[in-house]
Amino acid sequence: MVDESVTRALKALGLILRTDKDSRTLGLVKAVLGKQKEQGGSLSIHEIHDELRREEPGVKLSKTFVQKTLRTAVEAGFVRATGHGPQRIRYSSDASAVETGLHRTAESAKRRIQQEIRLINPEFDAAASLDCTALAQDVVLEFTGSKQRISSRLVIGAEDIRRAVGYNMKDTAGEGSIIRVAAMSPSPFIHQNGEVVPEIAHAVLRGSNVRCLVSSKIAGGLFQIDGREDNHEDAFDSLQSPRVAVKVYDGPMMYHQVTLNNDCMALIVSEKPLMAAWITRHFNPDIIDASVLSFDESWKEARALHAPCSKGASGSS
Amino acid sequence: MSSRERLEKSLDMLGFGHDRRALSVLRAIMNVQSSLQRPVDALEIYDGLLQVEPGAHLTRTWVRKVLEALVNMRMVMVESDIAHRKKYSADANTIVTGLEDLKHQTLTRLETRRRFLQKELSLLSSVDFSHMAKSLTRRTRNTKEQPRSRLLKGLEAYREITNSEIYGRAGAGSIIRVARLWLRPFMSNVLEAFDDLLSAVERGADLQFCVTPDILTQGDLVATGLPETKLVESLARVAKLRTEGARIDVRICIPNARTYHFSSLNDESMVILLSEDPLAATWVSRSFNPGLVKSAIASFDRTWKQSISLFDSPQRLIERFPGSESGYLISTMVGSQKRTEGKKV
Repeated sequence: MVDESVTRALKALGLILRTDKDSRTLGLVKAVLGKQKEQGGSLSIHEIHDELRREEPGVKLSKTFVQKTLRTAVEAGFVRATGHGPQRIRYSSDASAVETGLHRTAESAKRRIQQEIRLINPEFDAAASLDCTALAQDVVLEFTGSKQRISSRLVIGAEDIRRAVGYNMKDTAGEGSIIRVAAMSPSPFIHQNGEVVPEIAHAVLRGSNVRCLVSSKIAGGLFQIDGREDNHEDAFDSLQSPRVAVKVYDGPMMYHQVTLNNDCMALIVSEKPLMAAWITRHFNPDIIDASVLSFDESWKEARALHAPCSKGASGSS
Repeated sequence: MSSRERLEKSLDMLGFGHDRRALSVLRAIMNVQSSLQRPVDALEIYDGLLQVEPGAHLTRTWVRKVLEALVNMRMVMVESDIAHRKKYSADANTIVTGLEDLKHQTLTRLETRRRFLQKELSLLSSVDFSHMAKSLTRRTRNTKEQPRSRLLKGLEAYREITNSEIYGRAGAGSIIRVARLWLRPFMSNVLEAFDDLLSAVERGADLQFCVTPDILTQGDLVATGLPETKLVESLARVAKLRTEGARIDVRICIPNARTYHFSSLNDESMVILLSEDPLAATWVSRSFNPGLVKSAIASFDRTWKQSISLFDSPQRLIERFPGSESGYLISTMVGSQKRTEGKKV
C-alpha cells in the first residue's frame, strides 16, 4: 500500500510528476534498488540500462540518456558511484543514499519555492496597490489624447460591488476620511454576522472612520438584539476599533448606500438582481452631497445598539 | 520612467499589456467613437484600424473576435444587441470595470499560487525523510517480491512459468528436479519443454529427471503423438551432454513410489500439478512457503535415491521392470546397443 503522505511529498519534490508517473530520477533509483535486490552488489551502467529497458519495454532509452539521468541521481545523492574510468564505475543505492537524495532535493525545492514566493510578494503588493481609476484615465489619455474622468457606472452582483468599493474606497481612503454605510436591507457591505466586509473594514487601518447606520428591520437579525446577545459591537467591529461606530435607524427608508467622504458612492438601485450605481462627484455632486446630508441627519436621530426602540418610530416607511 | 512606460508596466502587471491586438482595437473604438460622437459598429472599427495601419493584414472576423473578447472582459460595452447592428462603446467607466476585473483575477491567481507554495513549503519542512526513504526502498522491494505464488491454468501458463521461474533461472550449480508420472498432460509440448531443460543443463545446471516405470512399458511412445525424429534428437542431445560431463540423469522410480508431477529450482521455488484435465498447477516460492518447498524436495530426493538410471544397462532395467523390453524406449536402446556392438565386432 502506497503511503499517501510519501506520494504527496514526492510530488512536492518533483519526483512524481503531475501525470502521476515517476520522474526519470525516481524511476532510475527504483530500477537500481530493484536490480540490486535481484542480483546483489553494485551495478554497471549497462545493467542499469538493461533494467530500465526491461521495466519499460517499447520505450526508447538511449545510453546517453541513462548516463545523464545517472549523473543527476549521483549529484543529488540518490545513487553512489564507485570506481574510476567510464567502464569501471559501479553504481549502488540503499535507504541511506535515498535519504541523502531526498534531503538535497528538498533543500533545493525549498530554495526554489522561497525564491518564487519572494517574487510573488512584491508582484501581489504592486497589483493590489494599482489604482484602476487612475489607470483607466491614463489609458484613455494615451488612446485619445484627452482626459476623461470616471463618472458613473452600473455594478452588478455583490462580489463586483464589494470589489468596486474595495478598490475605490479601501485603497484611497486615508486618515480622517469618513465612510458612511447605510444598510436598509441585507447588504453587500455587511456580513450576515454583522461584520463590515473587509473591503470597508481595512480602510480603518488607514485611519478612516466608519459609520454604519443599520435599519432596525435587519439589525435584530444581524446583531441578535432583544437581549439574546450582548456583544453586539464586538460582533460588528471585527477590528475592535473605536473608529467603527454602529447605530440603529428606526426612521423611514433611506438610500441603501456607502459613501467615501463627499467624493464617491455606491448606491444600491436594485436588490434583485443586486445592482449598484457607482457615482463619482464628477458625475453628480448633488446626489452625493444629498446622500451624505440625509445620512448625517439620520445618524443624529439613530439610537445606539443597546438603546431601546423609541415610541412612535416606524422602522420603515 | 515616462508616463507611457508606467502605463505599460501597470497593464503588463494585469496581463493586459501584452495583448497588443486587444489594445489596438480598444484604441480604434475610442478614436472612431470620439470622431463620430456615437457608439460604433465592427465595420467602422475595422476601417479605423486600417486608417492607423494601412495595408495591415486584418479581417473583419478577426476584429469581431477581438471585440467579443473585449466585451467579455467588460472593457467595452455593447450598446445595441441586434446581431448585425451591434454598436460598441468604451470610455473610462467601462475600462475601469475591465481593469478591476483583471486586477481581481491577478490578485486571485497570485494569492492561490502563494498559498500553494506555502503549503508545499510547510509540507517539505515537516517530512520525515528517513521514514520516506525507508518507505521508498520498501516499496521497491515489495514490488520485486510481490509474486510469491501463483495458480497456473492451462499448458501455456504452465510452460511459461516453469520456463521463466525454474528452467530459465537455473545457472551453473543450480539443481533442477523434475518428476513425471506420465507424459500425457504435457504431450503437446513435452519435447520443447525438454529442450528448455537441456538449455539449463548447457548453462551448467544439474538436472535430475525422474519418471515412473509407465514410460518404459508404453509400446510405442511415438504412437502417443511424439515426433520420432525430434525424440531421437533430444535423446542424442542428452547422450552428448553426458559425454561432455554435464550433470544430467534420467531415472525410473520404483513401482508405486509416492510421487507427483513436480519441477523445482534448488530450494527456491517449485511447480506442482494439481489437475491434469483441465490442466492446473501451482507455483510456490520459498518466500511464500519455505516448509512446503523443503518437504517436496526431501520427498523427491528420497524417491530419487531409490530410482534406477535410464543410462544403466538396459538388461538391468528389463530385470527390474518386467515387461519393459517391449516398450519403445528399451527396445530402441537395446537395438542401438546391438548396432554399436555389431560395429565393434
